[in-house]
Amino acid sequence: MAPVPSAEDTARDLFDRVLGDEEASHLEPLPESVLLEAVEEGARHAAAAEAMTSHAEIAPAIRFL
Amino acid sequence: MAAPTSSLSILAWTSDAVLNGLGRGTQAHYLVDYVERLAEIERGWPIAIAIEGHYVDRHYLDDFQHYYARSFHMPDSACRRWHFFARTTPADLEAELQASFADPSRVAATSASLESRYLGFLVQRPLSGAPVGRTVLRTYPVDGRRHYCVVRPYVVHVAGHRLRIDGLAYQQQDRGAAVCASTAVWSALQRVAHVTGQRTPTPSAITRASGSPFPTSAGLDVRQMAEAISRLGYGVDAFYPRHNRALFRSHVVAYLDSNLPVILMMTRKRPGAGGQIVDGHAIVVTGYSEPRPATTVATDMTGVPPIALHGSDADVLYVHDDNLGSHARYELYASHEWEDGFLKLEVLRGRSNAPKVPWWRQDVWSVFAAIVAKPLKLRKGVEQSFHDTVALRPLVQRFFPIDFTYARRFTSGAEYQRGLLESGDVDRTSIPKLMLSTRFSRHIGVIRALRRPGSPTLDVVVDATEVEREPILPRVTAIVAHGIPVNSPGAPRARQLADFLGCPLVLGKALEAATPAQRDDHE
Repeated sequence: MAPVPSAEDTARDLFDRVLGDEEASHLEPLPESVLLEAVEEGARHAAAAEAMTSHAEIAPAIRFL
Repeated sequence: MAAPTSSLSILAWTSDAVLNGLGRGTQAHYLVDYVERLAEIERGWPIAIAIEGHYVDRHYLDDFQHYYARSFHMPDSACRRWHFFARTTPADLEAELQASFADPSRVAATSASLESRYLGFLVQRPLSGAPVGRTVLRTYPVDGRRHYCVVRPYVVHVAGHRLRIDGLAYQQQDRGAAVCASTAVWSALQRVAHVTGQRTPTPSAITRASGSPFPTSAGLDVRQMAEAISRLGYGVDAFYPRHNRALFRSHVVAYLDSNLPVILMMTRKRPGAGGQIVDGHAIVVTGYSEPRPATTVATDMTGVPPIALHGSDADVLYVHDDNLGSHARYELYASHEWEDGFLKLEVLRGRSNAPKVPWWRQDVWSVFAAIVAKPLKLRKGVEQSFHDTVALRPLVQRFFPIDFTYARRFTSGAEYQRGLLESGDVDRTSIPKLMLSTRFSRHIGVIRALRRPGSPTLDVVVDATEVEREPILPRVTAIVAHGIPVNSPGAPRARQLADFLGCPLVLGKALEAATPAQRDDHE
């Protein structure tokens, strides 16, 4: 079984080498369904984070002096 | 000194001269310690002091007009101002000034020479017990870890010479016109007013704007501090460490990276005869020491995976504390003790590994909240920038399956464009579109994905003047991918991401093709 590349290996492969012409001709864009799924996931995460937001917390009347 | 500078006296630095002149309080001791370290006195470098015997300080004068002029024991309305110069003796400083008085061709060189050695100034108020008025001191040199994020330039005139110093004004509370809460707001607004082109309000003006019906010495609560900031024409943000201390730390660092001071509201409980007494104290965070590489922050939000955030481990802060002094080094740590149902986030007012000094007793406070004064049209807060980050992360990860650390900050659209224009890291062919055809809002949020500290892969630039009404994704202005070279395999993915978000893209500078030797080496 081939080893799973680490995040650093993936980063090096994506950003630290020149894209060859032949490789470029075979690149496929990510399907739109994958992107829409990511947007939905992000929206769920943002809503969950917003639910935990503390700006509505009532400041107790401690006096700072 | 001779007639031309009759009101300016020049003397040699001795700690006793300063302490005797300023009343030997804690703030005077701190100032002596700070200036001596700054000037590296231990290496034998001399310091000269120049004192203006009569100085009219706008801030003190306003306090005088609204409070002291109506006191039964009325103090003087004028102050003295102390200037500190490193690496010079009084004789050399005086000779340098006299030479510039005699020869106009020497003025510019003398001003530059004085400015290079200028450590800052202190306004000495005629108030016994609270002499340390508006004080601006240079910060320690940035050594790669220290970030003093919220300084601003001040222009100072000494004997006709115009000197510039970068710092942030500090002063001791006097309890008549201001206490720690109003003094903290005053220091914070020094920076924010400068950014927005407004005149800095005086301590008295802040106290009046708070709407507190009580005497100044009764202090202000959080709501009154926010009220003061708002009535003076600024926006306010507030956030709390309670349920997520790591997230709170990263929020503090995000504001500091946005060059906005953070006012930390701290509390401490002590036993009283009739029960527990809660003391409150406010300090202004002006910078931080670069934390260790970010650890992953548990979001404690159902369904939201942990996220690595810049600043979540920040444990050394530089603060203005009106009990002590400016840019004091304090430590932030996560306590194992519980308070009101939450684990405490505590501040040690001092340095845990430094020898004790007789003039300051270190103590520990619990962080209760943070408030930030910001430009009025910067409507997004740091929590919304976090929501934007978690909303965008799944999309970024689909294109780049890498465990990024995310750093957040706010800046102005114009500043960001200017930075890009000067950047040597980006592909210049996409710059014209971004400069000529892209509308940047006045304030923007920058969500930066980093592969490792100091190595940004991409910035997602969002509008920060508006909070989204339907927050599916934030409104993205541009993607700037410094770390994705235009000819790398990441570039087509970045293009698809930008197309999907409907925004322009700037890629990183092209990689040079590897030489045959490099290829062999790689293989």
